[in-house]
Amino acid sequence: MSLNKGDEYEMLEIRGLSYQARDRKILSQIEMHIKKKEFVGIIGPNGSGKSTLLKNIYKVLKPQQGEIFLMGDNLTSMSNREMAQNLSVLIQEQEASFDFTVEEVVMMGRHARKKMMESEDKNDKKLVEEILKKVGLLSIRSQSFLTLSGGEKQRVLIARAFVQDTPCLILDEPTNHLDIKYQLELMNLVSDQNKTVIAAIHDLNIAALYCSYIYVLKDGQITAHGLPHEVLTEETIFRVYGVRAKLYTDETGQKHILFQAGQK
Amino acid sequence: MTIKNHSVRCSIILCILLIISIVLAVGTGPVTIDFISVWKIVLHNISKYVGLEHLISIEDIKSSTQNIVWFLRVPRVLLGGLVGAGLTLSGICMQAFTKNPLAEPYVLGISSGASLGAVLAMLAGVWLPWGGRLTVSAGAFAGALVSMLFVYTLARTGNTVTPIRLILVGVAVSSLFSALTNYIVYTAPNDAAVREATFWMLGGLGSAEWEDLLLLGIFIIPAFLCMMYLSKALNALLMGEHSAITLGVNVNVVRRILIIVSALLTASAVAVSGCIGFIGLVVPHIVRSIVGADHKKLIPLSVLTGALFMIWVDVGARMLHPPTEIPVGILTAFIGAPLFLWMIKVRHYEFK
Repeated sequence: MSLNKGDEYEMLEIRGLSYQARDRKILSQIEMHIKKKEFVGIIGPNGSGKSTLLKNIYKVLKPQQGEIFLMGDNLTSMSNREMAQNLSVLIQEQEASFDFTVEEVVMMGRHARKKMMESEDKNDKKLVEEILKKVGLLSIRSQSFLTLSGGEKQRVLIARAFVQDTPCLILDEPTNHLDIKYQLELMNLVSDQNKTVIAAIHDLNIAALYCSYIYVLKDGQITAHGLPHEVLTEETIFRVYGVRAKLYTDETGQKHILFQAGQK
Repeated sequence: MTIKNHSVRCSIILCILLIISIVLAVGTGPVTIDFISVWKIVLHNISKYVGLEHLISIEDIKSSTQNIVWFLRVPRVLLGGLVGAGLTLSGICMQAFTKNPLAEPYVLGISSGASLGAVLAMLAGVWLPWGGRLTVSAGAFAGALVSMLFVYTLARTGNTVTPIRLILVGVAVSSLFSALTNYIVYTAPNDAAVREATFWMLGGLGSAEWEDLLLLGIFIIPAFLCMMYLSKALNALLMGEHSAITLGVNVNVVRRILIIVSALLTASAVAVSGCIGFIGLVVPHIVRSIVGADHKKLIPLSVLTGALFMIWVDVGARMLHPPTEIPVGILTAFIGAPLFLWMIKVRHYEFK
């Protein structure tokens, strides 16, 4: 269904996107060009519009201005089903109050690939099993989703996104509520997938570790973008977050951002 | 676990139980009729349609017994099964729509709308010589659809209807229609009609006729197929609206279908049997606690269980104080309300 799948085309292109809720402007004139296989981080303070931006991309919100192209096709004219074949999303929403097993939840990822009455075949089951194994959930596959811990639930949902088998993956603040071990585990899992990843990230050190490109949002506008070392500077961090930071490179060459407490 | 993995086998077992229950329930009542006579009368009447009635002779059975079985008990039991199935299916629709296992078929204010329609029809039936029972059903059906349209239109913002708005608007519209109904009943000139109206609102299958089966059957079969067709989308919807969108579900369309299916099912059930509560709430819940939330298993198993449950509760309604009948709605509330409370207490459900 996609017209342009050649390498010269971008995975995702956003042109002049603006969004406002009631009379409050949340996003204005967003421009983004995301190439295939990139790991793109979107950073910015609370309320800067990160989540709103991502929700516009995964069709939960409708852009009031501007256009979004997913692999060359206009997203507004795409059905949810077509979108779900190219784009999977890990979201925060965990409002389920119904009793599904881990395996049932993960199998839902195949929904967009199936006709309505078509039931899951051997290949689907094999894929689900493979991915459950990869994320380390095979042993609890028939346990109820409701009884899991926050970290386990998040892993189930990432497994569901993997099962969707899409070239592009969106993470909407994926590491919220996760302890550091799970955060790193999740980011490792995602970056091993060889997908285009677009992630809203709170933790700047995590962003520095995993992203190949970073967009900085402030008050609904992109105020900086570039490679991590270009964007994550002491000046930009102070300008965007109002916090003084020190950059430090350890003996392995890994970058660390240290924050100073209690000052402006 | 075993039930969960053998839902097809369970459905077949429930079907067999249902057939046995229908025959047993037809035989039970203030006048007991033995098993063999019931079979004979039923088979004789069915074989009439293919011209084979001479094969099964029922000349040795009293014609009053024949009439009780074929014109009172059989339609009543079958109607009970259909009402139970319909209300259960409607409950599943509303639970999927609101993402809440505690939603019931009357969320859309349907019961109060139907009551208003029925009471209007009943009182009008006294004033108009050509009024009658059919008018009551038609009035209830119309009232149910009017209330549903009312609730839907008011709850709608732009192109979407959110569950919480629907519930709140449903509550308000229900109170309004109940007030109207009560006003009409209170000021009605005719005591007999009022008593009839009250009895009708409590729900009962006593007035079952063969034609009633048609009204419900027309809706239940397509509704069942439609829900089975949507079962995977419904599963996704239970994980949350945003999840469902990202999984490729057209949430707005599915929700609209759910409202229409649920409204038609409930309206037709209410039209033939009054407002029977708790079935649509309790039955899916019990089945869910055994097989899980997957709609592909839940829908067929619940529909069969709902039919079975209703048939036996109606037997209770006939047998508890013979020859007086208890409105079956009272019994379903007796059984359903404690179960409902237990569900809230033990399973810790919340309204979100």
